[in-house]
Amino acid sequence: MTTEVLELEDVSGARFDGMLNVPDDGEYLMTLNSTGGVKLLIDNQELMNNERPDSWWDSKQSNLQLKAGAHPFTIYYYKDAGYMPPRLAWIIEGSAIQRSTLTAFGSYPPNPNPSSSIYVPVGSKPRLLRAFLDFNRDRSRRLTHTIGVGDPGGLHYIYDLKAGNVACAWRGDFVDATPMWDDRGDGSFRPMGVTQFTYMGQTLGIINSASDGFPADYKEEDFKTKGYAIEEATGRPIFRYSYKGIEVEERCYPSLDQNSLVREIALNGTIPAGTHLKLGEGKDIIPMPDGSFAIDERKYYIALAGDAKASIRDFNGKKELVLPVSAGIVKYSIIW
Amino acid sequence: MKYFIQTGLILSGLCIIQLLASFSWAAPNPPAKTPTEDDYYKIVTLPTPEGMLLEVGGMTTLQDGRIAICTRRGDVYLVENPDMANDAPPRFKLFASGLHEPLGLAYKDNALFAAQRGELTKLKDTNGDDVADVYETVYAWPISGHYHEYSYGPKFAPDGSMFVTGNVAFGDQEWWRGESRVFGRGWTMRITPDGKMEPWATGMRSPCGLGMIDGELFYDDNQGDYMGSGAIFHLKKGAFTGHPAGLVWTDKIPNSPVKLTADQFNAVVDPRKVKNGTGGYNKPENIDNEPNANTLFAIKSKLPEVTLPAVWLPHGILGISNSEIIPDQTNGAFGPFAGQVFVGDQGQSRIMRVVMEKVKGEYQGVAFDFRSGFQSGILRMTWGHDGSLYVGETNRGWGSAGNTTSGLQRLAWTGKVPMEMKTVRAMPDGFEIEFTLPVDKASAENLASYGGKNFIYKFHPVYGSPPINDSPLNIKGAKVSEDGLKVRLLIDNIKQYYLHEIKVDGVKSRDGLPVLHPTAYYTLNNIPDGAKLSMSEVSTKRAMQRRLKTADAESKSPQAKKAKESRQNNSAYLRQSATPAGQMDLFGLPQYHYPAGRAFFYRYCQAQVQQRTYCCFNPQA
Repeated sequence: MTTEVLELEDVSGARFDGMLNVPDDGEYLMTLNSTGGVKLLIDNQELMNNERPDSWWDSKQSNLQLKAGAHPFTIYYYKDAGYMPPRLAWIIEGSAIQRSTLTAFGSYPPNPNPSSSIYVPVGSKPRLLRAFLDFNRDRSRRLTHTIGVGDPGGLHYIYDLKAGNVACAWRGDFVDATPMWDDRGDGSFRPMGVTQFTYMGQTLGIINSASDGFPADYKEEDFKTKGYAIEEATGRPIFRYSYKGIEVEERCYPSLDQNSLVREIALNGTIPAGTHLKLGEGKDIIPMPDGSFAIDERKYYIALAGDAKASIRDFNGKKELVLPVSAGIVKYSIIW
Repeated sequence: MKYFIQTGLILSGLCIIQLLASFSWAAPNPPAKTPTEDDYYKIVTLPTPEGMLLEVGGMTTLQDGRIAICTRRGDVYLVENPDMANDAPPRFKLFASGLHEPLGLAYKDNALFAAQRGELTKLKDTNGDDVADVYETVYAWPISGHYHEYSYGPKFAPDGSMFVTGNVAFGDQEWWRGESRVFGRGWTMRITPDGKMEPWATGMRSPCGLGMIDGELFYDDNQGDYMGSGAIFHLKKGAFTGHPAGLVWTDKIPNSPVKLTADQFNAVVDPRKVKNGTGGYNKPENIDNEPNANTLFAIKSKLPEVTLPAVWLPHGILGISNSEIIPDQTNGAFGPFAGQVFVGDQGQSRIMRVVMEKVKGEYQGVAFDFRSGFQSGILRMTWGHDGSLYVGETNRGWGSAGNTTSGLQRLAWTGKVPMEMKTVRAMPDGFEIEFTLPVDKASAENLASYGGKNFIYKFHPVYGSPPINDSPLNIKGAKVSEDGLKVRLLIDNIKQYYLHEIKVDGVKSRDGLPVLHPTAYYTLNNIPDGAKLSMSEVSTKRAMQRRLKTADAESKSPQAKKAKESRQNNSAYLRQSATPAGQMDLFGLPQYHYPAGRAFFYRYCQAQVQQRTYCCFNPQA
């Protein structure tokens, strides 16, 4: 089965009919890679449909339940973009079959000019880079005003400038900026390491009752990001913002043993009653014997410096670790 | 000046030899070699340090003559010695880094300002080591995270406030339709240095080019949905320039200067949201031979907030993806076009020249081709202290005629004055063309030296428009001024709101030079009042000229051959694109009218593009 039958015809389509022999009952992952549009029917049922006759290089995947035995299939392939060759690959993968390509090599030959990855290294000084971040790798939870801070020691984090929050941290290499810088790009980067995400929304909130939540959405009239200054001695950023009249400066740095990321938050100005920091959020929060807290099924731990006492509260079906604050500096560690 | 006089003498000498050698009808003969752009404006490529990728997004000149550049990779460099004085290479200093795809840079009060995707940022060096140590957010705007949501600017207004613009996003299923998912997309914002934002204007789709001309804000957009062709707009507060995406906010924000709502707009201009039967919509395509097609000026009569383009930049001819707008502030150091405006283009790696005049209180004017041959897509331009124009380039995934991905070049005037139309002015009964050099009277009084047509673009939710309603100009007479610098053309079918293509292929300078760029495009939004010419004042002579020898020679040159081949390739490509999609119906698949659409784009848009670029997918662009 191959799109080579279409040669380089611009506006064209082909219909492929055949039998698919499924070895066992089970779930199969179907992948259709194509230029142009493609529709897959098995047993006369439409199972996949990518209605884009103009698409560049699309890839669609679907998990399908199939019974053992022979199944008639039909694939419609159609394309109207003259600047691309006809290309179609059908790849199937399941418990009983290894990943195998059902189309001929020439139907979807390897890209002769694949993109080179663009990794962002960290030199002898911290490397700062702004980009979009997909929280928990979820495109629907894209953070738009984030900055990655790569530390020469190898402990990196991403700060959400519109929430005054550390969105995630990891160890290893810094970020892969290919999604942002290759071709048109989509404006985002990806941490290069096992990434510990925290929570979305503000760290700072004014909580006067159990029903008051920490702001999840940016409100221009309340929250004003002021950017950051570069600390001369360390090359690290000092983040600045104000929230409802509270002036905030925050420094983040790895602990000396590189075990944790320390957040040092300085509050100035008039601090309204009920001002709190949210230190963690998760399905559960468990106090540990050493005074720290295990967050969200022990994915990470929060340890407060000094005598400050954080408490656990229920909010919107989740647990939150909160700390009442007044003017001054609060320091705590994210350990993972 | 001395240099110029000498050159002039040499050229005249050559002409005499030519005269003796041939007996053409035209009195003066051109020099042996027809001059090219390169004889007048040289492109000099700045050497950049190895490994440095300068995908230029913003560019400005510092007080001390250094050029500041910001790149897509988020770096800001200061370039010392950009004109390579004493043949020394320019020196690059990394001033700032880590910005989010900044697409603009401005300098004021010892600080640099850049529009990142989501904010306007002030970069300050507080300890004098030429490295920014404060990245201060002047104002942050929302953004949804769509790839196309670029932000451009700032440009400083005389009062110290700044203008930034925001690209639209595109729909998910309706991937062709510009959307304003959050406020600011499709808008121009005015931001004060202390961080107050005022919504200024909307109707933008891809407002990559901003320009401050005599203290007034201008911007350009390029072909796309609701944008028949690229154009330059004068942006007064409250302007609406045609793309409806931003209108969804006019009744949601408290201080919108535009009152028109999306519903009111859609009631006048059908958004053509036709359901495709599977929960989505079909992509609207151009309707061939459409009766009573909408135009932007016709819409303006119903929706007075519409702002018409001051100058259309016909798509595929004068650019396909317009960028920086920069007035010539060199007082002549850059040649004979002081006070005029240059406009960059990304896709065609080209610079256009624009001259505007105010007629009946509104800006309108003329556009010419100026210089092509840059190595990548032109995004930004700034004047150097040496009087040359620095050009920052990238094609970042869109493709451009210049096929490198980035570039930093300098355009320098050689001191020779090209034979050009210096400007074209609207007259009550035609146009007045002013030339840079006196014309040869015989060629200028001959009506066969002139040609042209007028046409307009459709206004519809379709990507781009073919030119419509075109008709040849009826040129009835020509009057040449005493000094030979001006020609008044009497035309009896000029049309308000239309683009007027005016061709002067047969006009020669007194030294026998043809006009370097012999086509002008004048946008005639208003026809001035005043005295009309009488037939007794004008020449009505019409004599066909014999082909000039140099023209033949030129067509045999390797470049001309290459251009011809490329045109042929393009037309072959068009024929291929136009193959009917009959088979698709057999499958019972949804109807896409794309092939016809594609074909007309290339037919109408790409004829002038020497290298095939994907103009239709050029939203940044």
